Amino acid sequence: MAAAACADEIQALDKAAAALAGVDGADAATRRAYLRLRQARLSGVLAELREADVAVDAAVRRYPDWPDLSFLRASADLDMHQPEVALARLEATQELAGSPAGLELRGAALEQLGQHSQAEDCLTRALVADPSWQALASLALVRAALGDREAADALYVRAEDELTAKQMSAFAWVRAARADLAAAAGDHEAAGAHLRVASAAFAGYWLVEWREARLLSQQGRLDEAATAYTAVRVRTGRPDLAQALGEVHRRRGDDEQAARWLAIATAEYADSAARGEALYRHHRDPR
Amino acid sequence: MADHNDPNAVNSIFSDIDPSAADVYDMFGFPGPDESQGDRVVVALTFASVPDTGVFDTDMLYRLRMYSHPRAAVTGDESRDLDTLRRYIDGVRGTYFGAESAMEIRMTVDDRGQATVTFHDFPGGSFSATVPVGEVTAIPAADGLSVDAFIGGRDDAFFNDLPGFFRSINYAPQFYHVPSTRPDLRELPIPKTLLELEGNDLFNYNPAIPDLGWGVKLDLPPGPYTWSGNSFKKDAAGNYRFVYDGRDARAGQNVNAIILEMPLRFITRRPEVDRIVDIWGESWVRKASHKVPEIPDHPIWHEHPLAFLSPDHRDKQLDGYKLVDTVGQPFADAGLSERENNRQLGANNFWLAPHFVKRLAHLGWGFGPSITALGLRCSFDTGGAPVSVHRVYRTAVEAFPRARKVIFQRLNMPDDSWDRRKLGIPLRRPFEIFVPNVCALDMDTTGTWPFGRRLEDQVANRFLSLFLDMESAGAGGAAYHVETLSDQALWDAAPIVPKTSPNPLKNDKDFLPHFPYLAEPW
Repeated sequence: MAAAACADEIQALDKAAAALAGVDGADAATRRAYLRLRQARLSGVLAELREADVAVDAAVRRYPDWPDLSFLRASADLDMHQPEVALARLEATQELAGSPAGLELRGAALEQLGQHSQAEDCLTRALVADPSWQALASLALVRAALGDREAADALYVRAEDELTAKQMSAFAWVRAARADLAAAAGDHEAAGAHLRVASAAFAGYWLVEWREARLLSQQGRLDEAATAYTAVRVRTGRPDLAQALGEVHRRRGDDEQAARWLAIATAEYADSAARGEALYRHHRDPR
Repeated sequence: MADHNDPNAVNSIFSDIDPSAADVYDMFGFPGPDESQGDRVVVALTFASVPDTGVFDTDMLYRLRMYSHPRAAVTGDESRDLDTLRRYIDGVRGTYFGAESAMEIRMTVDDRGQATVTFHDFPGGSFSATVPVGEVTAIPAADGLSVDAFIGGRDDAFFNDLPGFFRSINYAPQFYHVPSTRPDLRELPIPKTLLELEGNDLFNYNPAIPDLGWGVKLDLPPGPYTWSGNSFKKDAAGNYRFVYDGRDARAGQNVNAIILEMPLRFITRRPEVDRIVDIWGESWVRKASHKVPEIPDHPIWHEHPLAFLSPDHRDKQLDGYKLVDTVGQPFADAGLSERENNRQLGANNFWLAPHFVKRLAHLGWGFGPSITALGLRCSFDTGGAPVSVHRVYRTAVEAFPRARKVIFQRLNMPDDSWDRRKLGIPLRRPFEIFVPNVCALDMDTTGTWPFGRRLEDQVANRFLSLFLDMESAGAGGAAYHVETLSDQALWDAAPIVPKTSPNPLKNDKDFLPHFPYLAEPW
């Protein structure tokens, strides 16, 4: 695996998008919007996620009846933390409602809403039709939310087993999720091992680097955590990382840096809210 | 956290449509021409040339499985009923140990372009060899035997009017952009047919868009996606229009291939008895967990998959891969299994038998009336239907009576040249051909389909011939056979345009008379 697998994949997505430039039709529009969304997800750059969201919107406006775009729109709604909107969209698109992909997405939306029982039902039905890694991982999230870490990890293991060498970013995502589980149980050693595998599998993935920074923080390795958080924050511009960085500095006793970063986070949360986004509405003023 | 919608965040629903090295195309098997030192078996597995012709995906493992056994004793003309079919399936399932005890050959290619070929459970033992890609190599084996190997890019040996086939089954994705989220919009509920249907505007040839389906795709128009007509389309001269035009959709295109030629003695200690060699192929893709690079102390670091050949370690090797595609019989996948992922069972396709019955009846309602409209005799009981019908069955019991002859009739051969040793080998029947899903090479024949598969076999026309009634003599007293639809005289006399065999009759490049037989790549 190349040292910068994530950067390589983002570049490949760029090329794929360029190849579609000027191609007309709902199919090409869907693929272009999907490629942008995927790039944004892999880069973690908030501004790119917003731009991708706009691109998905534009495609939906152009081809309102294309079900793939409805699916993509619902998927992007979840990125933007709008599970109610995603659910409404899925329900309005009859063809998606009962499909494995639709059930999976619905399950993810219900999970985001904390409706665990309904989410579990949806995902279990999706798995009967198609034992996809996505449904397994979503179900793992539900089990984890319900406190059953062992079952959650077993589901993540099953999800991993469904993934091939052509899906290394997904593999890294699953390993990062397993690291979360382990860390939540206080097993920092296992969490670190999962993150090392994730990083080796898909180097340069912000999501993994974020978890690495958080684990360092949890382990009390605050200087290293600050360095790691700074690196991811610089690349992605995400306010929650600014908040995390501020909190690490506070624990380090650097009140000046802590105040600075927490103020940045607060301002960016407010900016997001002013845009009408739901992304950070559950984040309170961290100061 | 702003990412807790994932795993949807890495959802690949829209990115899984690129050509894949896991897409296996064809399995060929025929006796080698040089018999000076005994029978030789030629096998060739072809697949998508991804990432490029002669360049192999290092995440792939290809598996060729082989099982030799005597030819089954000739059975009498047993009752043609579902119970007979059930007993056949049960019998094969109970006594056919191919899937479990098969020998196998695995092939991987490393990032230096070296292929590793491992032979497992052959009579002379298990061993492995390194083979340079793109070169004919003789691999020495036990008992002084040797296996010829070629692993590399070749011209695609499949010659077929694929758009014509997809037009015949109203397969929308060949012609239209179909939403990934709507699998129900792939094979549209329009009667399958060999002749264009009056008013079937979605799929009838459109002279304004001659390349539709040949690389040109339109957005799928709004429905309805059904057909409410009552006749085949005819032109002013009274001719039907064929859904085929006989062009080779794979002309000028390449494949990657594993081609091997080996003595029959290498496969069995009893070459004089074990005259049938079942062959099938599989593609496996490396699991993500087994691609993770070198991490000190990680167990897989100590278990490099190709380092071991004992059964335990072999299992570990396959544990690191995921089965994607299988190939045995041509059209078992595209024609009968509808390309469903969960029907990629390889030889072990026994549970699909009821589905095959339903699918053959479904196809029969489509193709049957097309055949009778041309004045040909049909093996499917259409009940005199004047035009193709879209009918699906819930159960094999319902479907079977109409498809009885399609399933049970012996498939005539055009002459006796296939039975090269004049042993009176029984003709094969469709149910024997497709279950189990293997290329069952009979070493006493030329290996022409269905007694194997030779490169020059026009298997699409032969598959369609299942729907010809091969048991009753025609006007001239001649019975139909598997090559009837390749007879140009038939089309010249038929009220149809274009006057072509459904499929091209020869490959775009001449095959080689010697190993590796498949033509050089383009």
